[in-house]
Amino acid sequence: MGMYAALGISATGLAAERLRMDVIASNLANADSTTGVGDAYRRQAVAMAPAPGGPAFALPRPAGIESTPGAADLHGVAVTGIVEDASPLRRVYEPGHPQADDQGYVTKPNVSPVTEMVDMVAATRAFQANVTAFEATKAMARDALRIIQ
Amino acid sequence: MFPDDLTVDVLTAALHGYGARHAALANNLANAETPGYKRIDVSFEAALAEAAETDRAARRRRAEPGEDPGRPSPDAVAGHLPAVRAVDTTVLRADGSNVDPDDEMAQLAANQLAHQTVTALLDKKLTQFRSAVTGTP
Repeated sequence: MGMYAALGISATGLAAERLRMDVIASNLANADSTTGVGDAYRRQAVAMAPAPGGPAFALPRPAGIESTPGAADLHGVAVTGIVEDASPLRRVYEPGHPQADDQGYVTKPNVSPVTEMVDMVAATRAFQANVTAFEATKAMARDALRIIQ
Repeated sequence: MFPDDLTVDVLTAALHGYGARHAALANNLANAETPGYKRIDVSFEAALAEAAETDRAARRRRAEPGEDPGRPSPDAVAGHLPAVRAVDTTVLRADGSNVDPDDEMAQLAANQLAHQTVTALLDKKLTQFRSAVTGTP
């Protein structure tokens, strides 16, 4: 069984949400970054999936009791990559800009500060939820120690 | 382990169950933002109660009326593992995930309290044994 499995699972959640915050911060910092005529910074997002494998996170496998295959092994979350948002870049009319094209349009990033703020709230909340789980694990382990005292 | 009654076995099995449920809830919270993730559920209370009651009823049937039913079988409860399953029939968000972080945290708190109760009971039971063995209260 082991309480330390739950600590590791919560740790993966904390790390994933922290990385997500880094990416959101990068998006906000680069909200107006252009990289040339007709090109600009593309919004990035973190792709997350349940981790397929990892050390010592297995739950006891039930014998003769129905369970979804693989559901008895928990490994937390894994970041599968940082992907670029494929939605179209903005075009802003700014004829005096050094990177304006022939019609006077500058291509700006497809970052919407409102979306990033909402993502930031979600990431913060998920981080706090994982901290709650982490603290609960510690409290349960401490209580279990009382048995041998 | 302690052959005279099923208390320690049932409490230990319950601790395994609470630990497994805790790991499942932690996993659900870690994947709270993962698209398409289905929450994982652990159940064991009903199966555990049934196993203990089955053993008790079997012993009662074997004993004569008025006779002591005897010691429980060592495998009555010890072999029981918690049932772990993914709840893939519900959807909560547009991305296919069915994790509600508030619900998970509420279950986490309830599970933690149940775990505390069981450790306190186990503590009391072992203290009883200790005082019986050493002769000191």
